[in-house]
Amino acid sequence: MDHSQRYEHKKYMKIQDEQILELVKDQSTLNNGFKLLMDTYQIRLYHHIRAILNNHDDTDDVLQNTFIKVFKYLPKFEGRSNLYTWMFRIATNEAMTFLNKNKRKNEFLDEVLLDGATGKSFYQTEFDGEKIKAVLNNAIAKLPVKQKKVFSLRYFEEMSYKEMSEVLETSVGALKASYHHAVKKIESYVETIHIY
Amino acid sequence: MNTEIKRELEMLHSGLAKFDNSKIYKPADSYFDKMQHSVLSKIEGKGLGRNNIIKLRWMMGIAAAFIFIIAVSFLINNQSNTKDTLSTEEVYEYFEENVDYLDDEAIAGIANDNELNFDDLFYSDSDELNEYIGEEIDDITEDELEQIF
Repeated sequence: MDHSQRYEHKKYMKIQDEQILELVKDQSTLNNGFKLLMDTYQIRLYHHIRAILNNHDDTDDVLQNTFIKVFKYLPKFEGRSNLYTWMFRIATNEAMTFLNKNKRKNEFLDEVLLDGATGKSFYQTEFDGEKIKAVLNNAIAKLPVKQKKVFSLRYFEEMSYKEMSEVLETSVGALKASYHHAVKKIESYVETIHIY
Repeated sequence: MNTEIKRELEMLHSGLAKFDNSKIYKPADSYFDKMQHSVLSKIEGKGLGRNNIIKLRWMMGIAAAFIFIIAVSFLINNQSNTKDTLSTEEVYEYFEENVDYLDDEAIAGIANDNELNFDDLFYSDSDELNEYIGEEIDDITEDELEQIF
């Protein structure tokens, strides 16, 4: 996605958010508005939560709690931030709350089994999409939680550092440092992967 | 991939810049429908639905109105009680202020209505009343004195 496509996409998302907020204001269109909100954000929020928790069942619980919180606090949403950054903040906080409550459980993270070593470097091998996903999944799972959040928002969500700063309530400088560390760690992990 | 993200990865000499950054976690197709259904059920179950919020607001409004009515009637009753039961001091004060305009029957009536006796009136600490009686004693007829004492 180049700069102009990204601009168009953001513009579309902003219009979509305005439409959602307009619909949820009115009792007669509330359900449609909330349904549109879930349709619009469910995949992105699922992905972000899953990157932090690395487990579908836990992600399901947290995603549902996130939407319930969004519904509850939507009447108080004043539009000072973007709807989507506000929702990502709720999702991140819910995931962190879940992690804190279930520390022991999350010491055992899912790791996708890979096919073994090829003798070639990861980047020299022609991977199919699924294998790349599996490698990335395992690499992300090994990151510290803070770097998981940052990597997910930057790499997959393509958020600007300013938007990330709104979501994570952290300075832009600290976020850049975290992202760079995360990329380096993923890089190190990926370089150790070899496939037959 | 967004060019800004790609450039940043290239600057970090990361091989990730070569890959598509599409979503890597994808649940089963039917998952999101079930998830939405579950969320909406929980919202209704927890009473977070807007209908329930409106009902709650109505109930709170009715409760507030009820409390207001109770409070107003309590205040009115308190005020009327005050009027019904004037203190002895208030009666004396009224008597002293209006004694010039009251005839004997009115004085007797006030004392009677308020369960006072004339001893109470004349053993009061009111110097002004005693002074008045002293000054006017000559003008009071015997009958009137008899009635007072």
